[in-house]
Amino acid sequence: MIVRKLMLLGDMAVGKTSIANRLAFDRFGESYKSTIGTDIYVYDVDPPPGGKPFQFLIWDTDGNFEDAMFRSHYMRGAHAAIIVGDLTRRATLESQLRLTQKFSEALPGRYFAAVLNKNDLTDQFPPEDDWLPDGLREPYFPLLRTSAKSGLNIQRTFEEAAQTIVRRHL
Amino acid sequence: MADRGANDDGTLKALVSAGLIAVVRADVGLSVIDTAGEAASGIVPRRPLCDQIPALTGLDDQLESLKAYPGRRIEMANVSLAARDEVPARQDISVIFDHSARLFITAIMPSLANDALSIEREQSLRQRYLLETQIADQTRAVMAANEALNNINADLLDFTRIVSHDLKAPMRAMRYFADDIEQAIENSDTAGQLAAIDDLRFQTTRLSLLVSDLLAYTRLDDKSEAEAEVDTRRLIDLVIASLPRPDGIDVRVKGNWPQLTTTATLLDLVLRNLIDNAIKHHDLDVGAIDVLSDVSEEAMQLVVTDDGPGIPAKHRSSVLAPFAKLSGDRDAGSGLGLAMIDKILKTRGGAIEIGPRLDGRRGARIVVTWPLTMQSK
Repeated sequence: MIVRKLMLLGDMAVGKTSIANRLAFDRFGESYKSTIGTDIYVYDVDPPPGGKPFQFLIWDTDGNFEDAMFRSHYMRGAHAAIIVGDLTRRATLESQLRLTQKFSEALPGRYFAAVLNKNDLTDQFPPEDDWLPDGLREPYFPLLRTSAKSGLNIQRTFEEAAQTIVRRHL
Repeated sequence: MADRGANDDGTLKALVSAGLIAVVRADVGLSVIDTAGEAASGIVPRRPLCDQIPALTGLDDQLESLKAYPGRRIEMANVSLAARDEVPARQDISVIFDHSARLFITAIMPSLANDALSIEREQSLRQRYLLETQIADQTRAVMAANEALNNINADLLDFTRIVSHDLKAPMRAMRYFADDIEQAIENSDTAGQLAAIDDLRFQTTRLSLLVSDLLAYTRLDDKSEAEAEVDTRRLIDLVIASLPRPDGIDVRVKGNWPQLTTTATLLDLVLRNLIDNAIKHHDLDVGAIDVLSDVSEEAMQLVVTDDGPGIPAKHRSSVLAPFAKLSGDRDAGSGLGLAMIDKILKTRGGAIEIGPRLDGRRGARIVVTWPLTMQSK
């Protein structure tokens, strides 16, 4: 069994817990309750034929940690990160870019990807990409639009992370 | 470590010296697992702690380094293992290394931040943060709307200034011609009277045209224009047939003219003004105007090329403003034709480009991009 620790990072209320809940339990709660501290979710990724079983321990962090997260024990030993932004709040996308930079500095070589969450709320952000921060229009890291509410790209995000981690022996 | 539980250093030391791993739970008292593997809590002795406690996953190196620094500890507050159908208990996890016994001691305690008061305080802080974020977002939206309104007001002011100036000009001219008629009557100059009446008639026609075009221009703001199936080839033929032009001026239709679902009246207005402009501003007795259409998946491109005087480079952007006319061109129209086209295209998300002919000959080339689907701007 390959077990890897994956951090869910991002500003408060961008949907980190909703993504973890959709992934681990296939459910979505409409009400918002912020995470205090850290919740750990266990998610088994289907291995490819002949491959080893793969398990993510997903650390859903408190968005209030911000950059201090990188100096804490919570981040130690992390193998990967999914960094979440909220399409309906541009400020969270700026934070998301900053977190991608911080993560690559703190844990060089480790896998990370970014997701633009709340893609279902199409009336709350422009349809074209030209309003996104520069680093998200042409990112050097994997980037997907997700919706924890509909489940859009949630499994795919973590499956791609697992595949890359196995392929690169991370 | 035992300060929050029922344990004290003496108890721990005794456990450690007996070769036991101690798992201290302050909420339920002291639980002990012996080295023989009888583990009431599920913790198996001699297996790395990191394999057994999810919160310690990935911390192998950290744990190992504790052996060199016995005074240090790893502490993680408020950690829970999320479960599907229950509210997980939040715990503070603390790991130290007992130097004398060479054993790790892990304390797992209920989180201090787990009491109702702390959670309420945290959540009210977060709600405030979220509200502040929302207010900041809304403030930004209001500021953007205000800026848009200021721009509209500035445009309106410019428009009013231009309209009042351009309406005054023919009225002033009419007054002068009325004076000329009076003068000609006093002098019994019949030919002079007739000439002044002709001039007066021309100015009233000009004023009438100006008012009609102005009305059409302001109506372009009405977004209720419905889309309909349009045979663009038939439309361009009708437009050309309806426009008066000197015998020597030839209008030729080229390219691919598709069947479209679009706003027919607006497309008619664009085509009419493009061709009418090319005819009216032509300065020779003989000339040719080519109207070419090309269609892609997203837009219809209309290219009107003439062999008239052309539009000098310095005037190419200013001729799109309402009432803009080139010098020496005072009587050719209201000056609203290109402005109307520009306004229609801005409303639909299209574009207009004015330039010289590509073959280097005299004349102008105007390219209009007409989107196949309306994009709100």
